[in-house]
Amino acid sequence: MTAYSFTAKLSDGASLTEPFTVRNILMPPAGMAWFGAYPASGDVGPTFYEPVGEVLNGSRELAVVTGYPRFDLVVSMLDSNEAWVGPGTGRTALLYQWPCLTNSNNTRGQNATAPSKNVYWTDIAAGIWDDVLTSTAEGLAEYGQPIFIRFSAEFDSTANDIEIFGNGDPRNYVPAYQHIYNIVAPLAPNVIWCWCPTGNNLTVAGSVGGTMSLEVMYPGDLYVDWICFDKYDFTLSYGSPLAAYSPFVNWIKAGNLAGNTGVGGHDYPPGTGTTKPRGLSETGVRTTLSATDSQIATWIDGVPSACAALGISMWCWFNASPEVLTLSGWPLSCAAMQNIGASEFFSA
Amino acid sequence: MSSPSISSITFDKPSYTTGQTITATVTGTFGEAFNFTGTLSDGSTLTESFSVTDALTVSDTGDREWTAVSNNGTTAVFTATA
Repeated sequence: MTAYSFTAKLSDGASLTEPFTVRNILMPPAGMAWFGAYPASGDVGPTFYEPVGEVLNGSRELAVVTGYPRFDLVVSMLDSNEAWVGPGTGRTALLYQWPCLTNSNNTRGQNATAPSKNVYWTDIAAGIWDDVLTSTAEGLAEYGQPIFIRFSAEFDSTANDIEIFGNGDPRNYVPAYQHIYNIVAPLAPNVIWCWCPTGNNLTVAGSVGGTMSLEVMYPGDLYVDWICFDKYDFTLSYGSPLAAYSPFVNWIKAGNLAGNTGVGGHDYPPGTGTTKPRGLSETGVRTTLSATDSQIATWIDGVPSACAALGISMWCWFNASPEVLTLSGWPLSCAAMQNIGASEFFSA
Repeated sequence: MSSPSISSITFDKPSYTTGQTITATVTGTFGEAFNFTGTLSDGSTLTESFSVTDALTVSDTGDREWTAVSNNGTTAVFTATA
């Protein structure tokens, strides 16, 4: 957060000055977007960077580097990464998921085996994790650089938090998010708050059944700096990034985060969410499935124009080899990635 | 015209994020309203008002470009991009 002074002055020299502050949410220059990736497995240090380094082959650095700490280990991962992301490194910022999993015992007495989703939204909202939140906020503040944080990303996924791990009611997400924000934001104004569903679901049900708009999981514009989503085209069934990304973005642009008076709805004011910067915090094509190197390269070629058309200001490839999304060994795809990475659109 | 002065500056938000519009409202006495009346020999009149404002300039330590939105002599509104 940067402090400025505003001065009004009359011709006779009389003047008055008042301060105001601006939080840096890392907006790229107009007409450009951040180019980022999850480099590989491991999550820390220069070796973490090597797989995506193979893909980019020295053509550029990543503007945004994504990472995946445990719920209670955000700061320790930050300590490992801060030296090689930030001013002077050519890499602008870290983007961390803040997932609802730990490697330690959870508050319900269960001995978690890693990795296990065991931080419950209701427990967060009830204050059970406040010590962790406070210490994490202090560590983030000490880091000092702007950092993207997406709490419980992909919260709408039926394969992750909601159904399997006990966060059964989608309506429990917002109180947890707001509780975290209310503790962390005042202590760590350098955190950039990202609301990050999968981009797959425009309605949610969870274990409570019924169908609710995804809006029930939106904490409100006051709590959100960026709207991100993790949209993949695993088998190229969409056929292009524009086709893959459009449904969610168009749903946001159409104002669906406002005026919902249905079950769990917040009835946010018109325009809610529509002016937030948008980002792909994860995306990719699964290289071992039916797609060929040439098809994936063509798909990647379409990324800048798709992002420009949809107002997407950050784009991060999920380059993990266990999930067979890395492009290493796919020469045409690597060349396409290097090509879009060198484009004017991604020159931020 | 009374002696010009600036009495307050307020912002529309407690803080801003980059890219947002900042609206600053300046109040005080930096202008005065007058009535101009034309009178014919038959006694009919027409009156219009006008104001004389002192030059009010604004700036900030971030060198933003501020746009004057309105100024009625007691309240002036300016906007800029955070």
